Amino acid sequence: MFSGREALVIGPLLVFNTVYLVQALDMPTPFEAGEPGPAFFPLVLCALIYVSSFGVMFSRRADGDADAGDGGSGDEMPADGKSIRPFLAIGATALFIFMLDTFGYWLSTFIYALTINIIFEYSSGENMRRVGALAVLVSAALTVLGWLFFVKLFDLHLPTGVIWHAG
Amino acid sequence: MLADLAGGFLKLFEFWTFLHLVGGFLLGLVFGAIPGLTATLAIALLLPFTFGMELSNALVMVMGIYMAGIYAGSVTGITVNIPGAPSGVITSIEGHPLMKKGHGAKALGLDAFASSAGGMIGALVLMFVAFPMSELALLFKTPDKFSLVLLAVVTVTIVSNGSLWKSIISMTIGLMLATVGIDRMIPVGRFHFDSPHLVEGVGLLPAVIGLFAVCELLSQAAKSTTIKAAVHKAVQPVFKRRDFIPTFKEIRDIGLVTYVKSSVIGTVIGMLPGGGAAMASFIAYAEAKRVSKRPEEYGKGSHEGLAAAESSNNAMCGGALIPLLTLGIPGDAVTAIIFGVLLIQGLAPGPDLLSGSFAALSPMFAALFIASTFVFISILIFGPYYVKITRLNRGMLYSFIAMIAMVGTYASAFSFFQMWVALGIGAVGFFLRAMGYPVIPILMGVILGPYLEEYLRRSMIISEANPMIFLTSPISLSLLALTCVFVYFLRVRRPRV
Repeated sequence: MFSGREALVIGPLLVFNTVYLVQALDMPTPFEAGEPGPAFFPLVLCALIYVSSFGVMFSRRADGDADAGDGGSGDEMPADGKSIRPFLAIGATALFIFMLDTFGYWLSTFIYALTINIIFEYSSGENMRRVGALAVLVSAALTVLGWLFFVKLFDLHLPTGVIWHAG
Repeated sequence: MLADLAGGFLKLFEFWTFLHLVGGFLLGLVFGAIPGLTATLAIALLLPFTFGMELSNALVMVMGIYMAGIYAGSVTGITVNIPGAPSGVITSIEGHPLMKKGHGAKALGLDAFASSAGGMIGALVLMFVAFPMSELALLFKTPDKFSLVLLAVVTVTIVSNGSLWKSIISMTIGLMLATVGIDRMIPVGRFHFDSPHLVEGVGLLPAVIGLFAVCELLSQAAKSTTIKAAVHKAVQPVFKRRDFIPTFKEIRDIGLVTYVKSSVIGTVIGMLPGGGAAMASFIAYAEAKRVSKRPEEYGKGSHEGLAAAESSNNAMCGGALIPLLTLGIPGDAVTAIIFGVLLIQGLAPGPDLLSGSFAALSPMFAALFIASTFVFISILIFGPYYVKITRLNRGMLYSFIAMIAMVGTYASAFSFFQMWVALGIGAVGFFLRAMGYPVIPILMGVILGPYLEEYLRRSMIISEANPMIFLTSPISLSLLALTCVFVYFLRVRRPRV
């Protein structure tokens, strides 16, 4: 039967689907002018989401189903589902996108690489001074490597940072 | 056609093209061999850079990654019993027991030989089957195309493990994302919430980077310590290069029939939507065991089982490209990303592609064949170092992946919005994956959605809203029947590994 865990997905999904439905209903009604029109396919998809959501909620299998294996990508459930690291990585990536425009490639990439490095390498019991020193070196090297790769090899333009050009 | 193919091989003699092939191959080896990293991720990371590459260089590099990545997935499966990719799971069942018996180098050598043989057979089938098949595909009318895309959508949905309802939701989310932006038939915006960015729709590149790079980064962050501990616990053996070369007797004992039959199975499975390397290796392994004179050796280090699984999963590469290039239907995640590479290069995969651009695509066919030969050469060069690859500093590796993925997304369109889209899709993908929802159907939905909708609507217009149009065309009817057959065999009577 339906569990609170499934509600974490189904709840927001139904909200999203309803918003999508409202938008689809704002378009011309399908077959009004004799052809399906732009709302037809989205309405079919909306119906499919409602039916499948009920399927997840009331199917006995779905509840214990955590093995969404996806062949090609090794798409299995993370072993440590309660880890805080993924959320730290999301935060670090969001911060990087904010910083890239303002501070430019060099500073923001160095901080981003350093943060991701520490997120992956940190574990209790390790010598943090050694991990930190290595992370700084690796991040600096990656930042330089990235610049050589994007700018020198592929001739792409990277943000230089609006803050350095202000005033 | 043969002259074009010869031209494709000659193109590989050009220094830069050859360098792209070797570079792609090495990248594929590293990504395939490291548990958690896959050929899919490597090609996804390469995608933003293909904008600035010459067509043949981009395709040749992708082929190098593809072949090496599928092969290398088995290397750590043999050495430390942690397959680098799902395609290496069956190989590790036979390869790791050999490793424990002290025959690790032999297992790696037979593994590379079988991969080379399978890869070459798959590439040859691709070269000689794709063109005639694309001419056949020109007979497809709009309702037939709809039924074909529907076959791909349904098959990709049902082959995902776990709850079918969750797979349907994943696919539908992808199809919904594809509806954002300007309608392909009537020029009106849909679901853009007055954002000028969304009017352009959800790009393939942020979807690929989000679902395969960001999502993978987050998943690995969640389990990084587990793999690290397992790899460091493993004993590091010492190999000599000559130990990797299989003897003639060992190859004869396995038998030519095993290599060829497994490769054909792999190629055919590759041609089916949703097939993939893991399924190819499982079916070839099961078939080899069924007809084996020594079935009792299976699971304890059977050379035959190892060769069957590996020939099959590398032969799959050639097979998987056939529906992509002839029908415009990507059957799995890797071919979906290759679909993106072709689009970026201004080529629309579909029945017209090979008739118009066979010569331009021939270096790709040649590269797949040559990359297969590299597999065996690579074991002789890098064999002694394969175990060390798994010991790379994971912080360094993932900060490199994160940086390349995000900066690459920015650089592809000089857009911060694209970066937000990639992060958003990646975070949602990670959350869905953690809750048991497969993510590959989402990408397939994004790619196939526009075609599914367009062919459906066009068919309905032609037939004046009569759905019988899908049943009156023999091709469409056959494809719908095939869809039902796939549902029956892949879901109702599903094979168990």
